[in-house]
Amino acid sequence: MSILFTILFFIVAIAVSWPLGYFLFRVMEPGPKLSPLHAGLERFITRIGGKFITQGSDWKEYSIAMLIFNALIFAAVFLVLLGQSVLPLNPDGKGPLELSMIFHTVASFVTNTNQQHYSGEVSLSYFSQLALMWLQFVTPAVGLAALAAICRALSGSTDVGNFYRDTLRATLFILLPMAVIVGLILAFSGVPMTLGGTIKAITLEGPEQLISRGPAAAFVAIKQLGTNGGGFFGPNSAHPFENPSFFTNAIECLCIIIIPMACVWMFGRITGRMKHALVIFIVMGSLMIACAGLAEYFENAPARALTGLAVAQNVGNQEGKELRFGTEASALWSVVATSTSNGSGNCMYDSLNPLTLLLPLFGMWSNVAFGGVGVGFINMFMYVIIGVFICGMMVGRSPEYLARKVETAEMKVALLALLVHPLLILGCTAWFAMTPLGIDTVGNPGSHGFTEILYEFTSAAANNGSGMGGLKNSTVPWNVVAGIVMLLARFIPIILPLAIAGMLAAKKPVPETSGTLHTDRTLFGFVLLGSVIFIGALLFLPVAVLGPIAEHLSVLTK
Amino acid sequence: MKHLIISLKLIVLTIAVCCIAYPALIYAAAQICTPYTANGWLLTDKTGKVTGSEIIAQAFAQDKYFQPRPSAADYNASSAGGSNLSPNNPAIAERAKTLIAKFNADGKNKLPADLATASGSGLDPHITMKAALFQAKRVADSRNMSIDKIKEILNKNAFRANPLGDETMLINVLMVNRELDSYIVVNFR
Repeated sequence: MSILFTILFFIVAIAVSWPLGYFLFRVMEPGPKLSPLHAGLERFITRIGGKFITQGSDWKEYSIAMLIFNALIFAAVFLVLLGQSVLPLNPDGKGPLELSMIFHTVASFVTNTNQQHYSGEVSLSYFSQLALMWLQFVTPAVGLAALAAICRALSGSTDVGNFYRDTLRATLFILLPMAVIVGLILAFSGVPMTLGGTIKAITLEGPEQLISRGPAAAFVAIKQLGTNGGGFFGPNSAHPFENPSFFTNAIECLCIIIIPMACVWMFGRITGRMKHALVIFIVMGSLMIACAGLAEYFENAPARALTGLAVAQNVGNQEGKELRFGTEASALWSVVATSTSNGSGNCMYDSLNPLTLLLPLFGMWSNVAFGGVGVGFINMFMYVIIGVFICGMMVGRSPEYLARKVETAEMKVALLALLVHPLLILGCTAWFAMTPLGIDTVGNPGSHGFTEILYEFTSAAANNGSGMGGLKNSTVPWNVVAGIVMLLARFIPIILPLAIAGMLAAKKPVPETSGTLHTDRTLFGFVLLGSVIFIGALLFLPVAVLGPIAEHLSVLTK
Repeated sequence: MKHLIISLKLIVLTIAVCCIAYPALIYAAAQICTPYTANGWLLTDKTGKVTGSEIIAQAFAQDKYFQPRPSAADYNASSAGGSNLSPNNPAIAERAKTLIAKFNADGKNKLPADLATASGSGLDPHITMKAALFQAKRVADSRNMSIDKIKEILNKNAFRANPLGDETMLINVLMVNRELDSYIVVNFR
């Protein structure tokens, strides 16, 4: 088992995230001194949005703006998918989609989840794919905007900025240029970019083979950068046209993580607390690296069903994997894409070894090891509040965070924000695992089937979007319930933290004393790590035992 | 009302930039600089007919061809996908038994794992060098070629899967099979 690629991967990712963090900061908080180009771009935004876009707002107005904008983009893409069969760019004549499928797909892409109950090359026209690609730009921009607002509030300002200006800045000045660079790299290294339709090939032995193509390079670039993860083709980045080589795989995998990493540095710069950001970065990084190491170790074990047969089994689990990536890069991707809210895959999650599956599940349950663009840090902010509060209680004084007192009101909201996640996952999993709604849709027998249901709701609630493909999830109940879960799990955990940050900003600053918990020290790092593991993951221990662990133990005894 | 107007402006602007300008730029660059890969790595025969894509596996059943990994999608490149079977699912063992019989593998001459497992996309164009050598004798016999010549062709086509990892070498099945076919044509002349 080799881990050289993994080590190099993390070194490069961290090295890229540092300057990128500064770039995000400069774009979201330009300050008074600007280069001529930057000033010109800012003037462009003002010209588009008029005077209104330069006006700041408090957290309430910011949230309302966010909801209005999201409702409109939801409606727009809903209409596009509804009219797919009559709209242009449909060389293969794709027909209309079923209504609940449209609801699920739009909810999924508006919430930056990109859970897919359809298969891209089978069901969607290029026009529909382009509409979804648009959401892959604006929804991570919404996440970055929300994070910028929270950072401003935490630096003590009740004016959290203007939602529209933030979203435009993030879309046009961060995601767009990065997507252009990555899109070009991918196109030049072999990812197809064509508007030509499905081609009919006469194979060497004679039969026909239909080959779907499409503008994949542009799509894949933003899919990876914006922690979106919605594949152009059904098998996502396992498809040779989305990911033709080891090199493209390395680039795509790197793109998943660099913006979520840079978000932590952006927080540090906006609030002026770089050491605090460093502690949080180390906690997130340790979680992710530990998960990646474990996943690679577990996936190095061969597929157990083949034990005793005349099969050479010294190469790790190859079921559902592509040889050009191998088990190391596949296991690494599975962790990176699920600890962040990306959810793309370069192998089939359903065919991972059961113990390996625990790590993507853990990544989505905690949802903080860098998390989604913007929102990953927002989730971590809730754990920071909880950690600060617990420490305050332990020494018997009222807790403070960034020179503001954390009191009952904030704690109630923080707990609510944190509990939405397990409630949605565990409640819905129980419901579907007990009724034919879920039982009749599983693709594997026994505990693995339970894991499929658990995984689907975990992925929806974490706004992740990865899935265990064996689950027959294109039914009306799956579409509707998973769609609602995604919507709740997107907007509640953005608005509530924004409310907390807004409430903190409205308080009078308190001076630091010898009794203040220093959030920029190692001790706080351990407190935070403990909060994530005990509060975020322990809640899920029972279902972990019922699913992957039970499956692992049941084959051990055979 | 202000919110609605500005939201609509934002929507129109971002659609224009992200859905039109951005893909158009990538499209133009890809079509100009790398037209072969941009259009799907399409291979053609002498008459110009498309015979497949370099990086998409196609079905091979005849003895004279190297065979690709099993495909849960039956090599349908317009509806790709994996088996999505748990690695503990007995269905994997059943499928493997059929393959072991088909390839005449046994305890001494074990079937390489990549030939016993379905790939993620069902379109994995590669097999390992081991899996190719495993099939080399069958291919050589049915073509009346020397096994050394086959090995020579394989070695020429082999590349390392993970440049930073172990020494696993991969072979593109379709490209090797095409080369084998062209070799016979040259010999007959």
